[in-house]
Amino acid sequence: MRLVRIEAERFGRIDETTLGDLSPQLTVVLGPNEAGKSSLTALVRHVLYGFPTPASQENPYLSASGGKRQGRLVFADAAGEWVVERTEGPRGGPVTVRAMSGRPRDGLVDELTRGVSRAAYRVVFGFGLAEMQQIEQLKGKDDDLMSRLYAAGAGLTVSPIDIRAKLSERMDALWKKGGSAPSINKARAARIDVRSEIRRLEGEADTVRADAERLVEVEERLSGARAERTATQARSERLARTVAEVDRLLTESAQAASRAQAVAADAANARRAAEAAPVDEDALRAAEAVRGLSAESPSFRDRLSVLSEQQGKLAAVEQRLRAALSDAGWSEAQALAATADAGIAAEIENARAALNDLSTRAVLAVEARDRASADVAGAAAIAVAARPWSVPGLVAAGLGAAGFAAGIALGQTALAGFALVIAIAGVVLALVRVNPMGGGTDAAQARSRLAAAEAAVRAAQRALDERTVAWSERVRAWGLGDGSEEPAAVAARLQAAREVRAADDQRSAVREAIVREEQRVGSYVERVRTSVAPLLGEEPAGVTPDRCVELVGRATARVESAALADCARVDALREAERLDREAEASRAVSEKSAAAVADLLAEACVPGGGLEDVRHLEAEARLEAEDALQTFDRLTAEEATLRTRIDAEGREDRLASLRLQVETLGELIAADVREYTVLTLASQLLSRAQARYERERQPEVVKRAEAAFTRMTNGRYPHIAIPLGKEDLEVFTTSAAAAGTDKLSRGTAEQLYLALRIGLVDQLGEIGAGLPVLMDDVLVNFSPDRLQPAAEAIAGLAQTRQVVFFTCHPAMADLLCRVSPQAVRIELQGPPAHG
Amino acid sequence: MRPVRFVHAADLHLGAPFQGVDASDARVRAALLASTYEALDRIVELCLTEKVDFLLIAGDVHNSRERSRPAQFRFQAAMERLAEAGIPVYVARGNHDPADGWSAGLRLPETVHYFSTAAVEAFTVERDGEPICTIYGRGYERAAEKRDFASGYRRSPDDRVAVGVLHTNVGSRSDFEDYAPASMETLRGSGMDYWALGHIHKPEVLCVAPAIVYAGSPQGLNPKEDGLHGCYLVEADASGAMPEFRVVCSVTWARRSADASSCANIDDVRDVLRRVCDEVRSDAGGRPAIARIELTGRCEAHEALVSGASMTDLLCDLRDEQLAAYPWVWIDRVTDRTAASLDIDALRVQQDFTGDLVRLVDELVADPQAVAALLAEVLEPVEGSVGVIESDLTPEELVVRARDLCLDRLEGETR
Repeated sequence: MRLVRIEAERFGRIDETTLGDLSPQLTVVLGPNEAGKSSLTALVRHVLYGFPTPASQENPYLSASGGKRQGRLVFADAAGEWVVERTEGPRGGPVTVRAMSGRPRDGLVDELTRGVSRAAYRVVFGFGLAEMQQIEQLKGKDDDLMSRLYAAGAGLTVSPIDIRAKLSERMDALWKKGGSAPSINKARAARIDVRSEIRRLEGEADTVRADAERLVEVEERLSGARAERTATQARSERLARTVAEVDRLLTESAQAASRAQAVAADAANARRAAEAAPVDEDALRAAEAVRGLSAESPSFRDRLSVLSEQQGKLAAVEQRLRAALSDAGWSEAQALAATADAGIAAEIENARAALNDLSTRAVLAVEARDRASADVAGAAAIAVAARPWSVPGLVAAGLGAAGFAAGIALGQTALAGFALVIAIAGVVLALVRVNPMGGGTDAAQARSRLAAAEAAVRAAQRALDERTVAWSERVRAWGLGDGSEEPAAVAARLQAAREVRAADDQRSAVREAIVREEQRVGSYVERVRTSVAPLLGEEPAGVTPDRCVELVGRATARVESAALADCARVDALREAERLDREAEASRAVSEKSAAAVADLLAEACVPGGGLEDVRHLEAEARLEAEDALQTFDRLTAEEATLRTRIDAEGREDRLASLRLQVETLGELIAADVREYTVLTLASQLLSRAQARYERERQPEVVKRAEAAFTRMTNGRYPHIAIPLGKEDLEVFTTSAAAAGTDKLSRGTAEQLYLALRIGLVDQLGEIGAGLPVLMDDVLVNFSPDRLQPAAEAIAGLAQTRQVVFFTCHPAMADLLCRVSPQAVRIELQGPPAHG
Repeated sequence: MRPVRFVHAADLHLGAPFQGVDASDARVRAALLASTYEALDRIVELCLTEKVDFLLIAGDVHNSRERSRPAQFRFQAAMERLAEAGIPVYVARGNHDPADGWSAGLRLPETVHYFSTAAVEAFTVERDGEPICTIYGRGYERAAEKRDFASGYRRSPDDRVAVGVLHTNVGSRSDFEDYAPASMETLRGSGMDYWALGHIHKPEVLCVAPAIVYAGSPQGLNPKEDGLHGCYLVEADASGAMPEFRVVCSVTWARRSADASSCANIDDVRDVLRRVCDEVRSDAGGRPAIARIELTGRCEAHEALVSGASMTDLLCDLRDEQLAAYPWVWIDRVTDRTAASLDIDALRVQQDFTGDLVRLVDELVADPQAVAALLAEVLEPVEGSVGVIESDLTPEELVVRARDLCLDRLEGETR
């Protein structure tokens, strides 16, 4: 980066002036006085660092046109070209960077000036004779350029002296001897104040010593008063309780005694009334029996009714019996003697069927015999006339089959058997009538059949007879034979016998019931006779069942009346006993209360005394308690007052807080002292290291400055020393004599300052690499023999740094251009002549 | 018979000033000033809740030197509460409240017994008319009591349970005043079932059988007394004693070291400090805490930290933030022990200014007398003004920090 042009828009007397294009190495600007050389040098500084404020002592270079000062610098490098323009304004005025070519570089000003302060720039980069000596004058000051020189030479970009200055700045903020603003000084002062306050409060605490001693005494007395208050209060309360209790007990005793008397009188009255009440002893004795009879009276009444019904039933049964006997014609004995078993009826029915069958067979045998007889008589004649089927036979077979079916259906085996026989006989009969159809046959056969038929008649008759005889015997055996022995008649008699027997059974049962009821009724009547009749004054014999209910009712009424009266009497006696007990209990209560009163009075130390005595004691105790309480309250109040006074406004708490504050301040001081110690040590270490470095290693900057100075002085001064932190520079002659700058001639001193700048700038490396070194006629005081080497030194510097050399001396310009043939020479016009 | 139950407390230091703390916040100051009293109140509550047979205090109830009447008023009120509950208290005077020290002379309930300062005194505690425990103790007549009291303790064969109360430095620990020194052998040989000790402020069980226990101070009194503080609830019978630690402190102190190696800037340091505060808050069990944090490690943030202003701003912000949280944490101090992320060994061999500086410091540190002399030279002016300041860094550490500061500044600009 190099400066190409300097353009003054409005600045001092060089409004609308341009200087350029400048050489990247050496540019020699020749101009007469007032041509604007110093203004251009200043303009570069102001555009880079801002226009000085009116308060600063710098030349303001106000614009002759009166407008805001404004200037431009054009910088260029391989990447482009940029215009840095600044216009007067607050805080140095706003600066803009405009790219004429290449990319925008808004931070260009910062890049250019990084590491070079405004003051450093003025002394090292853009200087005239006025600034030449400042390099020494600023030594040891805030902007000690020598330290920068030293740092650069020591391979540092920051000067140890700068660091020490910063450390010192911080140290000063922490502590300063005799200072008041630094934090340690402040904290120390605050601690002194707090300690003073503590002492004052502690002193105040001493002033309340009397109160404290009084407090101890009050505490002591308060302890006794507390005990006294408790004791007297307890005694007062105890006696108050005693008074109340004695009062209560006395009242209770009197009330109990009074109640005992009243209750005893009630008991006597009750007892007298009970004893005077009449007692129906007879009724009470018979009461149980009468109550039993009375209880049974409804059932007795029912029993009489049942008895009457049974008697009516007996009459009806006997009448039915008699009617049955009459129908059967039997006596009762006969009827009852006949057998009437259940199987007899069936046997009678079988016999009836068997007899009917046998009779039928006999009739049929007779009819067969008659037919055989007729056959015999008219065998031939009737042969043709004879019908193929015997109608009777068919009828008999049909009826027999029907009867058989009916018997089977009804379960009547006898009937079924009989019907089967009839059916078979009918079939036989029909078949027998067929045979003659063979007709016309012989009489012998007819006779034979007749004989057979007659034999059959006989056999049938015999069977019937035998059966009839057997039946008769059977009927008689049953006792049912009196009269017709026809099965139907026998069956009728059997029925009659059964009815008689049933009537007889019923009669027997009714009779037993009647006997039973009669016994019960009798028993009841007997009990009435025994228990009730005497009570009612009735003759026992006059007691009949019919009267029993009425008599028992009357007796019951009497018994209940007597019982009621007796109960009332017993109750009255019991009440009398209860009242006796109650009276006794009340008497006991009265006595117990009286005894308790005696105990309480004894306990209250008034044995044998009365309620008034203990009341008097209680009043005394109450007064004592009130006194003790007042004493206690007074002492408590005094204690509170003393405590408050002793610790007025929380003095003790405030003391504690202040002590904590002292600790806090101590901590703050300790922390600051710790930091201060480290800072001071650091400063000391830097100082020692610098001394060592200075002693043991010559900084390259000094070496170069020394070389330049030696050359400029033509070898007269081969050595310079830069004691760091000291205000003076020292130079050494060839005889090693040391001399301060005040001993040098002005020209030699300026040669030294120029040499130092050359040495310094030469070693800055990247620091301020884009900044041109502007020298404003700094060689005017050099003797001719030292101008050449000085010009050569400047030309040497221009090999590595852009240098713009302003001069009003053409010879100087010529010299520089001669030693540096590549130099660009620019001539400025002088100001217009007046007039 | 039910075991004997009692509370063992010590070193209450009621109203004692807190030392070595930066309590520049009013809320923190108020909490600290109330804390010893609140710890006493909690001890009383513990006694009442647990229905103990008695309370033992092994010395230093007050600081006589401060002559704090509120402290004695509060103690008196606490003793009255216990007296109302029928709980006796046995107190052995310590070096901070010796018999010849200042006292407000307040009357204490008759249930409060101070052990004799002339000889070992025994009190028998009864329950329902039956002796259940004998308590032996001896108080300090004067503050600097150097005599051996422990050898005067001897258990009686009739004791059902024997308890010794003493304010002592067992084993003559160097970091505590060597008052009433006692050895473990002496204590073991006395036949006590339980030794209730005071003087050392950190709770510690020196021996399990017999139990030899420092209750510690119920409330930590300075940043070194960190962790949870309280007292012991003890159950004892013929078979021995079982102490159970109960926390009663109101404010806890915490000292933490935090590795800032990974911190590239001040915001990273803030995060590290926040994490430490969270840990402190968690460990405090719901109590407010005062934290003293040491930052260590080589880190890029070192440069920002050595700038006093950055650290001051950071501390200010963090204090506000941590005080607003619940429960609050007050950062009392952040000690910056970080170092620049410089390769000192590499610098040491460089033949330039920084190399010279490193070697210069190496030579200096190797000579303690030179360091001391340098430090004295540096500190003399300021200590002449504010007095001698105890530093938590050794002289050598201070020199190394100063070296690192120089290197930071020198190298920092280069970087």
